[in-house]
Amino acid sequence: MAAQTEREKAREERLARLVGDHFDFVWRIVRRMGVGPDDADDITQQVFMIATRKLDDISEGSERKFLYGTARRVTANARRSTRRRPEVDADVDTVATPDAGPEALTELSKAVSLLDRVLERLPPELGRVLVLAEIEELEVAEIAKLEELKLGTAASRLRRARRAFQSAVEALGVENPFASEEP
Amino acid sequence: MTERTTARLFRAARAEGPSCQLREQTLQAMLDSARTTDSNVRTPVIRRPVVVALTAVVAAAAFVALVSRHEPAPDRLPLAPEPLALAQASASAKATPSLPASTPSPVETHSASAPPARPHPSLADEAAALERIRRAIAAGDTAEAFRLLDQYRRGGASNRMSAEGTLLRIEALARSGRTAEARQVATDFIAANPGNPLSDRARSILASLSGGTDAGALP
Repeated sequence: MAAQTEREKAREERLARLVGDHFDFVWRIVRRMGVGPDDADDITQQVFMIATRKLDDISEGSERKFLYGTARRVTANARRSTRRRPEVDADVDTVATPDAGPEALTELSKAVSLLDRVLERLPPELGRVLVLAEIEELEVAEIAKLEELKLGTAASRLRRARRAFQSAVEALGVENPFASEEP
Repeated sequence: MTERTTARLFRAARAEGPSCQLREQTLQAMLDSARTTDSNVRTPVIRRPVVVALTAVVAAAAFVALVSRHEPAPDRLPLAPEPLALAQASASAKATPSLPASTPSPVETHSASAPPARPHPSLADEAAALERIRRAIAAGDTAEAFRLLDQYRRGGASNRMSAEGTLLRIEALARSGRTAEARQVATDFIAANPGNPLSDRARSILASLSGGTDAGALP
């Protein structure tokens, strides 16, 4: 095989960095869009393969924005074309954390399951900014960039999202999610 | 629900993540795809990397693989075998019936003349090693980062991502306060790799080290 060019090497390094910096982020984002862990695996892989194909179009520094937009699009397409899994589906309740022991996993499983139930009650654009703020812990400016909003719009949307979240919690009638739940 | 409980829910969501295997497999497929493009640059190709899936029969870790199609609107979501579920209590007892156990096959391309791209045997290992270094730096554990960097160096001249390794060394040096060394390695790197996009990263580290007083030292 011919020796690899500088350009090819640089591209491979960029791809490795893309994965290192953003893989988990994309997976988590997808996961909180009402997608179970298996489908999150699949969709995340698709997103990164798309990014590989379009790498030359992604300018330095805008990788996360590209990946976020692609993740949203691919997830939306996937959800339109497959039957949406009901909340009680065991797969959705499964939590993917390679490092946790069994008891911790059950607790985590309950927690994310409940979180998803609450998030599902929010309009999607509110749910997304809430996820970016509370789970990804991004600054409002970064949220505005990813969601392509003006800074003020992002800030007010986030305030609305937090209020909507609280309302959804009350509507679900959840007191202590970590007590045993009825099926 | 209390504020504290809400915080716990969000923390749980942060704790969830993809497996290392998934990450490494994805990177491998991406590199294969990029390499296939490079070798077929004259032929317009619809790239169809085939990522191999092995489904473990027992409740051990399951490796997820998919056929990833690049048509604009995928008409079906690639199916995955049973989930990577370590809490057996919550995992469903039923197997997912419609999934075939696929057997390994080489990466396919549309170019009839080129042989299928063979995955570099240690490239995924190398990528994984670099990621561990990245995480050590991100965690502020520069001692561990240097230890891993030395290990990576000893991996030898076959390292294909050595530029990335150098960048990580620069970052580790900068983070651990070895400013003069960081500056030196960064300057040398930029001089030796003018066209490399990684030089931009090196430059920005240099800029953050000098705090604006040394602007004239940059090549």
